[in-house]
Amino acid sequence: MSQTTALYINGLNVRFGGFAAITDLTLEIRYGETRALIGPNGAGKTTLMDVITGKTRPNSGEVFLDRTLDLAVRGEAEIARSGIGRKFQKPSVFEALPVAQNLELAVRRGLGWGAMVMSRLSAVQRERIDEVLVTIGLQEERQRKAAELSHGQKQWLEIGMLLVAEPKVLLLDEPVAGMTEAESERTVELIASLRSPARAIVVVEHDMEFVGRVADLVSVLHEGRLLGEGSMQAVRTNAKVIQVYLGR
Amino acid sequence: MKSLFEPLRGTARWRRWFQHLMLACLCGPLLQAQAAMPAQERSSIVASICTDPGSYRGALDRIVQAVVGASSEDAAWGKTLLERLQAVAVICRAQGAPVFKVDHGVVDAATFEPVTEAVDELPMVPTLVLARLLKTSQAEIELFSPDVLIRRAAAQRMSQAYAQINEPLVRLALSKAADPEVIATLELALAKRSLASGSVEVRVEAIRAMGKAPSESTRSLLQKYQEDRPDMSAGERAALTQSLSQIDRALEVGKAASIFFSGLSYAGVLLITALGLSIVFGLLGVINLAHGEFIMIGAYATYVVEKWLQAHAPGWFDAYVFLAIPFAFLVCALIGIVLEMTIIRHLYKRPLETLLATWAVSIALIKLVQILFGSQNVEFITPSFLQGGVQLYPGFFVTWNRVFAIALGLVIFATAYALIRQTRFGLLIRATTQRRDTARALGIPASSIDRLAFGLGSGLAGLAGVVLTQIASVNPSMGTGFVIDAFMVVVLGGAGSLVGTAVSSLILGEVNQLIEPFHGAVAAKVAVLLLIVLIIQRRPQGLFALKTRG
Amino acid sequence: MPNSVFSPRTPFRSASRIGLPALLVCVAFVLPLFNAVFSPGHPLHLSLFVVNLVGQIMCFALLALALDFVWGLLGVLSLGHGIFFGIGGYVMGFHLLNSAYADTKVLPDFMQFMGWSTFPAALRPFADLPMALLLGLVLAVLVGGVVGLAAFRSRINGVYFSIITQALTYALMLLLFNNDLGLGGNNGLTGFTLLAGFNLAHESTQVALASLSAVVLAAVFFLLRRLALSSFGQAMVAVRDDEARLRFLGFRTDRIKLAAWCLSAAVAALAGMLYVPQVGIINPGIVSPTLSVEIAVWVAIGGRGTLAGAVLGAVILSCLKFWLSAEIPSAWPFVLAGITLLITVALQNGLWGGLQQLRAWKAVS
Repeated sequence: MSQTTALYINGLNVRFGGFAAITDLTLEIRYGETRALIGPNGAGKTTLMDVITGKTRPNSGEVFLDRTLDLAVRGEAEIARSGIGRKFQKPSVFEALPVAQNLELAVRRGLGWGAMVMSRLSAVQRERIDEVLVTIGLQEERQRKAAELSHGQKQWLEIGMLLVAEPKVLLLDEPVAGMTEAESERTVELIASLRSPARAIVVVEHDMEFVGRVADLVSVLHEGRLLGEGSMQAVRTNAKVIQVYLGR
Repeated sequence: MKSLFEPLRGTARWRRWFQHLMLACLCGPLLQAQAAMPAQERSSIVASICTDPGSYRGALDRIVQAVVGASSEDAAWGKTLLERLQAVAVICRAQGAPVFKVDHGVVDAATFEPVTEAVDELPMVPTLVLARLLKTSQAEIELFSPDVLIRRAAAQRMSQAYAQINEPLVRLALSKAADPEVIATLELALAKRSLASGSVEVRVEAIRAMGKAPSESTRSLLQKYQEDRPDMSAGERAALTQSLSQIDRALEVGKAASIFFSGLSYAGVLLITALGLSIVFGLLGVINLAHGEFIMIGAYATYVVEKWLQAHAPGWFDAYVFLAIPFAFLVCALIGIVLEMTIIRHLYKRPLETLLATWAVSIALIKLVQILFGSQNVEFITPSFLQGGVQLYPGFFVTWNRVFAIALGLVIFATAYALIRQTRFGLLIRATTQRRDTARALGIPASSIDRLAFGLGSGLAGLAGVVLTQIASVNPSMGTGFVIDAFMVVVLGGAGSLVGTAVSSLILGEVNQLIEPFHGAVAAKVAVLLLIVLIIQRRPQGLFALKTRG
Repeated sequence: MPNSVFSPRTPFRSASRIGLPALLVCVAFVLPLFNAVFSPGHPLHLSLFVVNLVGQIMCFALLALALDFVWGLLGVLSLGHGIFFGIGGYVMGFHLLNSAYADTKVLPDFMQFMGWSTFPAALRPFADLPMALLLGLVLAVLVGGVVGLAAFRSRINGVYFSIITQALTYALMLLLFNNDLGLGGNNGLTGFTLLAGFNLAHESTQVALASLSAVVLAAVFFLLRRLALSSFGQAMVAVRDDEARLRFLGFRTDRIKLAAWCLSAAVAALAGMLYVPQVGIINPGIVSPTLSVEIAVWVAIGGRGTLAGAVLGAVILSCLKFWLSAEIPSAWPFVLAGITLLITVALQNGLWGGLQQLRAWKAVS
């Protein structure tokens, strides 16, 4: 596992009106790592992802990519182009477009929108799309409209759309929500195959078995604060965590 | 609210004492004329009018004295004489006493006794001079009329013809006057007369008095005075400068108050037109482009009620606005419910389609009304209790119909607010707006609520139409302008929030009225749009958003 | 954007869609020639009236294309395209005023009413035709740019945006109705005589204009279609269906929207510029809020998101309107309302969508 920091979060505070969504959060995620973020609903997991991707601005604290790119001030599109890919809770693909075109859009990464009118995809880009289609297992469906895919397939397509852009950081928000057993299994394999020394993966999930199989480290959030951090084993036996999940 | 009349009365009280004293001396002779005039005197008065043009003024003065004097017989006679003179019905005979021509023949001018002999001379036609003097005398008499409106009008005429007024008479009228408006006008008339006086002190006093009675007319009087007399004394100049600045200050305040009031009035219009829209948009997410047409239908419903009352129950006519309220509400609510059941119901969650569909309904409604009532403006007769207005401050005049519109609008708003916040129905609406699924899970019939809420919104639009009949022009295409403004209010205030609607109506109303008089309607609309865009950036759901983060 | 009952929103697709509009355009190009080729009295002769009608309808179709581009593909419902149509129309009007003045040496009526003795300097830049055309397009793009920038930067979307465009239309209409502005006031601009040296009153000029309108329509249609099939078109559809997703993929969506919006404004202005010489007048009524909504109705009825549907809708409804306005004028609003309701409630994909559906069913069975 590489020692370079991918995401650096320090003393993060996010408030919505009177409600404190995140309080004094400090987190560091390294390249090559797969980190799981767990916690009850309302713990601040999605808010954290919002802050990282630029959807929400923090009230105070530091959020950096590579310790150099300040994510608190950049726009969503710019952050995405810098290599942070986010998969949403609800599968968000372009339903009207065929699978291949979804990927074609994603591979351009929003660069040169003027050139989009004229330019075709480069060979490199087309190869990448083919690769990813194999990775996510949708090579047979490339001409199918995304709307016609199953729920699980849509999730994989979304992950695929992030992959074609070769992200440094992958944020996956509940990737197996609503999936069948078989689909979940495939997803575990998929995410495991995404591990790379040049990539950090952050997964938000409720399915503990999934987390156990996929994550290196687990961070537990509760009411906007970091409750605990460690391996799945350690977290599972942590008294505070147990209380939070099973107690109130 | 400082009235026009206060300063004059307050500070000049000692002067009024003095006036009373003077009047007692002057009017002594007048008041002593208790007994009726002998017939000879009457005849001589009429005869002098018949024969001697130079005696017109004197004769008329005596007639007026008779009228305002204590004797009611003389009063009656004097009035008749004046009236007959103006009606060209006084015959001056070469031989014999003058007579009046009346319906059934001729009567003696002094005694009213019928004259038996034939009279074939033509009645005397008053010369221009006499006619003018007759008018003045008429006004002088009317100063003492029991009807306050007539007295006010007469006072106005006195004020306009200030140079010719009979000062003791006016002071007598002033001493007897109780109505503030009459007092003010007469005092102004006397002040104007004093301005033309030969004595400097009198003039300076008059200038000072005018400074305390600010209005457009006193200002222009003083202005003219300043222009006409470049060589006035230092005392006059000082008083003039001071009075002019006093008047200007007062007028500025009046103007500001005027602008504020018209902003308030416009805000009231915005509020009532936007109210129903806010509920419908807030609850159902439905953009009802036909909202303006519901307003229009409410106005036409008022027209129907007005005409019906006029034809079948004229005694109730003045109440037509009140009677139109339930009628217009029901008509519009029913049409709204029908609309919801047939069309809107199919289009939930599809706001753009709803927009087009309601637009289609709006053009059909406009055409329908055009066919039924024609496309020209429909005129409404202002009920008698709403006619006229009152000047609250120099330069600041409010008309009763506008005040009524604002008041009615506030009542409607308050009722709607109470309905939404304090009744069960309102609770159901709010629950369904904020959390539809939870509400349904609790057994609330969301689609019935939708229907009723749409009916409520449409009914409220109808009520807006009723109110608008008193202050805006009514025609089939009146809706478009109102609906766009109403949407601006709802967008800014936050859909579904009544308080938001009220606040944003106020803001937009005042902004519009601040800009429109100076830069025109277009600039006002653009300014409003800019304001909205700026605020929406910060708060996309409007100022008082109803839907929470959830 | 939520989906209709029948099928999700379609992207822009292929060759089959050329058929009907291509046919229409060919017809529209050829028809006016019937006027020139066949002499009056011949059964195939088309009167000047009909030729003119064809030309106007081509302009409306162009306007509908502009709106469908930005509504059907991008998902932005503008209820204010009358603004750009009006800008193009008025600019052309200024140019024609110049030509008329140069030709007749007589000032237009409204200028005489205002007491002007010479042709205003403000209108002289429009004397040169290419310059006027350019200025018209530039002005439309500028206005569109300002509106788009303000709105898209502020993330104003959906119905709020539509209402704001209506408000802007209303404001512009009020501005143009103002008689003191020197832009013709409520009577508008009239009294046109020459266009590029050709007499507007001659039949041949009108025939040429009508055919030109058809050609321009065809050209713009193919251009927009090409765009729609390109990656830019894909991006537009993506913006329509899930703008947030596209943003999180790295696309600057407000720039995409702005570009498409400005292009649409330019096309609408072009339509206005072609329209005015054929009707001989432009007045503020063209910028009325109602007309701007009508354009959207044409597109909805024809079938939005297909470009071809916009042309279809504009053609059918304009023909219907002209016919009914002549025969039973008071019926038109009811007919339009009825059709609109039918389409929005029952046939969400419009007539074109209905045709596609039929074709699909036939293919299956």
